[in-house]
Parts: sequence; C-alpha cells; structure tokens
Amino acid sequence: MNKKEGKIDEKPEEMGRRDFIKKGCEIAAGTMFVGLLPFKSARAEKEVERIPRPEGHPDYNWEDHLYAYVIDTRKCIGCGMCVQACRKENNVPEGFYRTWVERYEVSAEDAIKVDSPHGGENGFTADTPGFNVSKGYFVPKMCNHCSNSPCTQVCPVGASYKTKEGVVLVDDKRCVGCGYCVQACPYGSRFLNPVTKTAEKCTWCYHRITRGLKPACVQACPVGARMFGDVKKEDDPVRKILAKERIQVLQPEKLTKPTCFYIGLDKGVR
Amino acid sequence: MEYSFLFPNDMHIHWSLMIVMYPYITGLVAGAFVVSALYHVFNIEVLKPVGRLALLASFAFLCFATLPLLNHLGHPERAMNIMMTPNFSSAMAGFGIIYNFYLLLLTLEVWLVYRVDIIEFAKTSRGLKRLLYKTLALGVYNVSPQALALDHKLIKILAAIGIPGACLLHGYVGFLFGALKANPWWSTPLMPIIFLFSAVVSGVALLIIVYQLCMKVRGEPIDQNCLSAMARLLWLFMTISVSLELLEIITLAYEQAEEWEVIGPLLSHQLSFSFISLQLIIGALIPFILLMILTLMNRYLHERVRNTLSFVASLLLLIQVLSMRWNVVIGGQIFSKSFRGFRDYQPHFLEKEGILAAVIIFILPFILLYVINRFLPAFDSPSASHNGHDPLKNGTFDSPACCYPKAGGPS
Amino acid sequence: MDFWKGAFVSLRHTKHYFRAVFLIIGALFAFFIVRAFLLPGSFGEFGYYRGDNVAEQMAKPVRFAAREACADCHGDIWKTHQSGSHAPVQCQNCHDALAVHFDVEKGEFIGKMPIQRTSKLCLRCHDDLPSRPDGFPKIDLEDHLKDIPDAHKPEVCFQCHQPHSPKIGDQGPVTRDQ
Repeated sequence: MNKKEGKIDEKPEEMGRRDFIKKGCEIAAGTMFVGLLPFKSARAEKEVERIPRPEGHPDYNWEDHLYAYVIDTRKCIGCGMCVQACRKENNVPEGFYRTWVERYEVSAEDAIKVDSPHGGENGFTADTPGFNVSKGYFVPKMCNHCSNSPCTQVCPVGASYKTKEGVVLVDDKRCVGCGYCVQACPYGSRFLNPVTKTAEKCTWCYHRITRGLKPACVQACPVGARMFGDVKKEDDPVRKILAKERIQVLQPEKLTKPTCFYIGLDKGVR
Repeated sequence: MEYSFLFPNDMHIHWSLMIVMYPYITGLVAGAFVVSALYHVFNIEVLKPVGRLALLASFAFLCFATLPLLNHLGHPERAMNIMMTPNFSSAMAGFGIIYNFYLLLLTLEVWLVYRVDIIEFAKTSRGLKRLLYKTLALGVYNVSPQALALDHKLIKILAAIGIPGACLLHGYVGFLFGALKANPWWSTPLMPIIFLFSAVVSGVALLIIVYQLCMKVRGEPIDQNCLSAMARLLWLFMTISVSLELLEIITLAYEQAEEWEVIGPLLSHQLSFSFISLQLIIGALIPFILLMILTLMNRYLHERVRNTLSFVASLLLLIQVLSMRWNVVIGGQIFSKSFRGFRDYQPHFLEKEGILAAVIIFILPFILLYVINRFLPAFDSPSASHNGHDPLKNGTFDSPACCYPKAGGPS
Repeated sequence: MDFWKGAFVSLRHTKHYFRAVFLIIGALFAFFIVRAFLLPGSFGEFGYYRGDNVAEQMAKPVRFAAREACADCHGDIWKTHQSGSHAPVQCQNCHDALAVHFDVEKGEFIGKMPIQRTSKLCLRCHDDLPSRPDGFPKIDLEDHLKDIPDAHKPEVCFQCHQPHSPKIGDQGPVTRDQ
C-alpha cells in the first residue's frame, strides 16, 4: 500500500484525472483489502514465525510446554504466604485477589462455614466460638486456566487469550474494561483492576515460568500444597500426579475443563 | 447455609447502574420502532398519529444507547477496539455490527419518511437552515410521483427489515446475559425473549406518554382511536412479557435446582422491593388491571379517564421494565458465585456511574427528540398540509400513477 | 418486484438512492482505511490477540528471586536453614521479596530486609486451627506457654526457638553474617 502511494508521489503531473481516479480506487481497494485481512498481509513479509521469548532465554519455545497446576488441599495449612507472595510479585491492588485461600469448617450437623478474611493474606485466626467443627480444611483458589475458558470466549476485543503453553492472559493495552470476562468466570478469579481499569487475573506468573522459575505462590508454599509442572516433560512430578492420582476440578459441571487440578476436594467446595 | 461467604473478588459489583440503563434504552429503541413498523409495514392506520413520533423517538434513543456503555467502560477511548478487532466468539463483539446496522437502517428510514418535508423545507427556508435541509436532501429535489412511490416501497422494506433488526438489537442484549453459564440467574434461553417483549412494552408505554404530553403542549386533541389501539397493544405485550418473566422463575423454583438455593433468597430478600413490589405488583399487576379496564370497557369510558388510565399504566410499566432490567443486571451480581452470600449495591447520586449520570443519560434522548422535532416535525408535516398529500398514508401504491390520495381517502 | 423494476426503469428517480449508497460505501471505506492504520501490527500473529503482548507479559519484572538466591550472600544462615525443619519455608516468606533488598542485575543494595519478630508470624502456620491438617506441628498457645513467665511478650517464641532452625537444641548461629 505504501509503495503505491510512493509511486503517485513520483509522477503526479503525468497523471490525468481519469488515471488519478483509477489509481485512487486501486489504493482504496488495496487498503480495504489490507483492512479486511489485517494479520495475513501485515506479517506476509516475515517468513519465519517469531517465537516470543523472555530476555536471556534464547532456547525457550512455547510449543515445548504445556503447564498444569495441582493443589493438594490435604496439605494446605492456610498460612496465606501464597496470597501475600502473589500480591507482592504481581503488584495486585488491595482488596483484589489473583489467588486466595478459603477456610471450610463443617459441623457434625453438616453445616458448612466458609471464610476467607482478606483472601487469607494475613493467615487465619481461631474462629468464632459456638461452631462445633467436626472437619475442616483449606482450599487455595486461583484462575483455573481452563482449556475451554469462558472468559476468553466472551472477550469482545480479543484482549484475553490463551497462550500455546495453556496460560490464559489479558492484554492490558487492548482491554476496554467492559467486565464481561469477570461476569463469565464461574470461579470469581477475575476482577477489574481499579488502577489500570482493565481486567486482571492470575497469569501463573507467566514472567517467572517462562524464565524457568516457579510461580510465586508455588515457591512460597511451605508444605508443597501447591505444585506447578509441565505435562510435556517426561519426569515432571505434576504430570505423574495427573497420571496416577484421583484428581478433581472445581465446578466440573460447567465443562470449562480447568487445567488447575485439586486433590482431596470435599463436596461443599464450589 | 446460615453462614455467608463471598468470593473475595465478588465484593464489588462490576456492572453498575449504567448497564441497567443500556438495555433499558435499547429496549425503548426497539419498542418504539416496532410501533412505527406496525404503521409502516402492517398498515395499521390507527397508529398513524404516532407513526413519525415513534420513528423519531427510536432514532433519538438509539443515538444515546452507547452512552451508558461508554461511561461504564474502564477505557472508553479504546471503545473502537470492539469494531477494529471484534472477537466473534464473544456475544458482545456483535455490538459494533448490530448497532451500526440498526443506526443505518433507522437513519435511512427517517430520511425517506421525511424526504418530502426536507425538500419542502429546503425550498422555503433561508440561510444555514436551507443549507442543512439541502444537505439532508443530498441535493436531490425529486418529489415526482415515481420517486415518492419508490420511497414508499423502500420505507416499507426497511421497516420490514427493521422488525427482525429490532429483535436482533435487543435480543442480542438479552443474549449477552442469557448466554453466560457462570451465572444461573442470567443463564436461560428465555432471556432474549423476555428482553424483547419487555422492550416492546417499554416502547409502547413511552410513546403513549410522549404522545399525550405532546398533544397537551400543542393544545390538540388526543386521537382516541390511536390511544386505545396503543393501550391494547400494551396490554397484550405486557401480559406476554410478565408471563415469560414469571415462567422463568417458576421453573427455577419448581425444579429446585442447585441455584434456587441462592436465587430464592435473592428474590425474597435482596430484591424484595425491586422484584416483588415494583416489578410484579406496582409495575405489572396494577397496570394489567388498568389496561384491562381500558381495553374491555373502552367504549364506556370518558375520554379523560381513558387518557389518565393509559398514562398511569404506561408510567407504571416504564418503571416495571426499568426494575426488571435492574433485577436482571444487578440481581445477577448481588449473589456471589460462591452461591453462599450476597453483597450490596446502592448507586450513589453523584458518582461517575451514579444516579445523576443515569438520569442525564435518560433525559438526553428527549432533548435530542425535541431538537429533531424542530427540524423534522413529528406532527405537522408540510407535505401533508401544504400540498395535501402524504406519501406514507397507506399501502395503496400499486403503481406510481396512483400515489396521489384518492378522494375521500383517510387524511 | 415493482420496486426493482421501478428502480431500473427510471434511473432519474433514484438519484437520491445512489447518493445515499455512495455515502454509505464511502463511510465503509473510511472505516476500513482507519482500521488498517490503527490495527497493531502483531494482532493475529499467533491467534486472535496482539502477538506482542506475549513478550510483554514475559518481560514483567521478577520480584521473588529463586529460593537459593539468598545463599549467595548469607551462606551461614542458609546452611542452618537448610539443615533445619524450616528448610521448606523460603526465606522470602518471612522476610520479603528479594526485590526490596537487592537488585541482582545491577548488583545494587536497595534496602534492608524486614525482620518479623512477633509470635504472630509463627502462629500463621502453627496456631492450632481445626482446619489445619493433623500431623502438622500445631501449637495450642495457652497450653504451650503455660510455664513461660513472658508469655504475653510478642517475641516470646524466639526465647526458645531460632526461627531459621526451630527445633530446640538444633540451632546454628542466631545472628546474621555480613
């Protein structure tokens, strides 16, 4: 398109009116074509596909990875270090959570009491008297990075997407802040960041995992309740768990196919 | 279940009063258009007095339908992304196309309906006004019978496209909510249909009110046939609309599905005022009775009683539709997705997405309607009064030759 | 039928349609031209999103360094910590992210690491909550401190336990090395 415009600039005086109109129509048609097929024409010149890589990691290829997350609720002690680490690592605004920990207490009469003060960020304290706990457990929650993700489906502008490694991300430079994805997520994992005014969510610390580090929450967990792995690696512990253990996902009836798996979920957990 | 718990991110209502206003305003657009289409397509002659008003009202509201959305967006400056890169797996991506398609259709319809008037004004006015009309006429002053006959056919075709168009425009809004599996209060295939019928209700109700007010201001008599016809329409559509709304809830309650655990308390506690009192009793039952009196005892009623009854019923139905939008949009967010607890939402008067902003957004279309009416009058048309012929009178244009009114035809 | 027949038979009467259609097509053209200019070049490169965003996401700064990063400067404490029962607890949990302390790339000291010296920190993990799994060392505070005179003091835990290696009699150097 630019070339054509250049040609016009070279010899404008030689063109008659008819030629000019003809040329103009050609340019317009060309532009329209470019507009209709934005990506193919924009990238046509570059024959080799770019592979996005973090700085200093020239060998990273996102096609070689498929990440998965396992949360063992039987191990979680509810210290909330993961929530704290997540906030510090990702600069999550106060009052919003990319990950949080829920405390479940079930009485002998099957009454369920759930709480998550500040998302469990400051840990949990002894609960209110009068509730007779017969069983209790903590359930860490976060974005489930669903394979069939309802949030990326509903993003009207293509700002939310899934990478080849299976990570659901939000492009905060294209997000219009409509909040449709927040409504579409059945897990309450998304929120509108009051500072950037865009949708935000757990990225599995994409900037860490692509550099070979663990997500901040996994690294912070002192009891190994949170595990992060790559199912495309032969000897990956998470891959082994997925292959051998009985695992569950949250709200399986929604058919979102989460890639964040749970061990030891109780029936009351939603 | 006495212990409540909200997901930590569910403390906030993300879709505010603005998102209540958006379906309300598009509903008025679709509803008003349906009335104008009843006249233009189905030749329901009694609706003639409001035919043009309906069209202009629809147009005026459509012009401001995006305003609540823009006010709500976190990044309104990026709003065009929805048209630049529409992600077609998202229901919302259709917005740019549907909205623009409808705006184009409505603009063409208004233009064609008013073309004779525009040309007439272009000939009789001076200065800037003349330039405006000349531009609106696109510089073509052809009011030959053949051209008018073509115009009339095209008006009919556009109006006929406009009916499914209105369904699309508003059904789409319902679909936005109805197609979210994450929210049991929204997720129902009935949602677009409920939205559509309540849209027609609000549109007709709006026209009854605006028509009566206009006539009051102009000191002209209210066309009783037209008013009664609109009241009958209103009664029909409100019955369907409320039945569908109830059907959805009764089904949920009867199924005793998992979500009823949260929707039951939602309706009986959190939304007890806006749902039971406003949407069902004040907004539906009372106008139902009023309109029933109006419809069944029409000929025994005094003119003023008829006017008052229809006016009050329309006002109540406008409130009903607004509360229905509120109950859907806000109600769907008041319970947490944990299904274990509720949050609270009270819009403030002065905040960015608060009550004042909503009121302004609702008043703006009326101001625009007033302005448009100054240039393209809804009631006294020069084409009707000056040369005594209105190309839109009825559908009897079988050939271009008979586009002049027959003697003794309705005037 | 009549409409189309009319339209083509008498072009003279359809002039205003042609002008309107021309305007609409013009607007469409204008839209596509503007769109072509405003569209980010990398949009659609890998999928229906802006391809450049992937690299942008990768480039975000890391604040929590790898667990072992602390060993480079604080070798002694690291050794103590690694040999004790708190080995699975990363240093940056109780202190803070390395990013507040040291810039690894520039090799610059930024600020002091915070040190928490209250029992609150310990109770985050060890308070005897019914939801906490059995087998994990849980402390019933009242029972545990019943013979301790300074039980009300916030730093009471550290009188007996060295946080880097809390088992009594299993303690390395308490102070930090420089």
